[in-house]
Amino acid sequence: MIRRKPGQRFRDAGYRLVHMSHEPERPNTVVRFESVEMRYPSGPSVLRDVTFALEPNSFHFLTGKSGAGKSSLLRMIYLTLIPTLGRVTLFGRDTKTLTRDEIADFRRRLGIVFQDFRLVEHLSARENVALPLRIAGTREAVIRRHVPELLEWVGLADHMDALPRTLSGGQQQRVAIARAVIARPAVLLADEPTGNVDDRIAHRLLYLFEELHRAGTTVLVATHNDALCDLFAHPRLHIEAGMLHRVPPPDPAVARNGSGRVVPFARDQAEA
Amino acid sequence: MAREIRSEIAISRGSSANYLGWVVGAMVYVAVLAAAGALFAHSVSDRWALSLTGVLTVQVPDAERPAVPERDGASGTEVSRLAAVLEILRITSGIGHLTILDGDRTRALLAPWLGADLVGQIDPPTMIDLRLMNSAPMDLEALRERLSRRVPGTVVDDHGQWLSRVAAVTRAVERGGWLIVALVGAVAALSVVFAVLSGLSVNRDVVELLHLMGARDGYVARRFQSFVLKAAIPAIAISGILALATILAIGAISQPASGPDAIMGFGRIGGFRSTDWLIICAVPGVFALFTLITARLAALVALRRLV
Repeated sequence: MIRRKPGQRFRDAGYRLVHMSHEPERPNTVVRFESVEMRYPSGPSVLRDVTFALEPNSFHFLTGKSGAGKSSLLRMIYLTLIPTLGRVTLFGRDTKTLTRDEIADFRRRLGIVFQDFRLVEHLSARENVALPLRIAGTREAVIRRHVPELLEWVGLADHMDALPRTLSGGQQQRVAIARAVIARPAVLLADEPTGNVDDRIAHRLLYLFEELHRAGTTVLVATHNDALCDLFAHPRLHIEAGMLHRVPPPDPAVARNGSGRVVPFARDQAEA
Repeated sequence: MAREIRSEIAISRGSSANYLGWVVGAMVYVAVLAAAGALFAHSVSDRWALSLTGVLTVQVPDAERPAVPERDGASGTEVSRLAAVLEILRITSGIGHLTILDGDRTRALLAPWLGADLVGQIDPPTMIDLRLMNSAPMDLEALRERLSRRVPGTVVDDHGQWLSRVAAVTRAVERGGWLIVALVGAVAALSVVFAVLSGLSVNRDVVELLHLMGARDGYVARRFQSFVLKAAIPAIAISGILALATILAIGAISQPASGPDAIMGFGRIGGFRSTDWLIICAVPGVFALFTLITARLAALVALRRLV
């Protein structure tokens, strides 16, 4: 899955430095893309000359049509893809230089939410949420305390021992979000998190992201649902024809929920 | 980690994984018996060698006929061949104890085997059984030469030839036994590798997910180890116990035939040295350790290849 090709280095570092010079260095930038080009073998380039940075505690939408390259961009952040050209820096490290174990350790600082939830089917909601803590070697007593707290926060206090297939789509995605954030990641990445739920549920899921953002997490949500983005006063990174454009946040007057007012899930679930 | 936590790896649902316990169990059973056979062959050859070293047999045909006179004492009295042999043995140093089996006693010994009629027709040589003292090694060639000069036709048998044949056979049995243990171990390792590989392919999505959540290969490998532990260890323990019971049962059945001397005595407590029993009991443990290491290595190698 990790495509590392030797020799994928900058061919002209001098040019690069001149090119980048107008952007000031920020040492604690969480994610930085520098003139990234992404091309799959025997195909046209998916992304070309993509340059952006995610500052700590920022919230961005990543928009574009299906197939525009949103997933590829996310995969370069969660380290299953290495850029064909250019440089991706995560927590200050060039991702090309990471060893296999370092990749694992870096991923523990990321939380990932997928469109298809990716819950482990034979494990209960509680056990699914506990996975990142187990992987990190957290003590069992801590796990037993934290997991129910978080499931309660996403409104699933009554479904802790339910298997994923007995839960609705919105409930499954909430389990997945709880799992993504249980280990308190610095960055939350979501790849079309609302793709498999209806609009009403989608709004509520985004409020969860909003609350995590307010708690200090850097959030990047990929979506092709422009209407949903309009509800929040966050900047967008828009991909079109392989190029990335920065779109400023909508006017707070337009963004109806721009304040990020949190509407928590009730103990009962509206969509159930 | 608490014990009741369910593993995220659901290999036990993989079809081939169910057979792992059976396969490894059967292999351990065979391995324990083969190891017991090898150790037994070794101890038999040891004990036979031990009971026959320090023993010489001198055969004197036509014991009553006169011996060749000594050259310088040509005028001396004529002695029988047996007396001449005994005289030479008397002045040979290193002989501790001596028993003479004359023709009648040899015939008496043979009668139950050959029947009285047949025994009456043969003329067995007189046998002299010598127990050597441990101190000085005996010069067998010199003894043979001295004997054949005065008593041509005597045979001095130190059982070396016979012993070397026994040793060759037991060595072959021993090597064969250990070869079986090694082969069976290889088969067990292969079945563990296949179980891990099929488990990896069945659980590919979960393994990928664990990696995305920051699991190192070692973490995933440990999951497969614990699966192998659960599937194989009870089977190994049961087969080990069954194999031991089989050895003891063979010992119980073969006891009357093997006699009080315990030259045979396979499966009897006295038939093995205590270190042998330790090795036999260690075989299942070694297999358990071996399967765990194999599972880990297989998982680590496969993870680097597949994912």
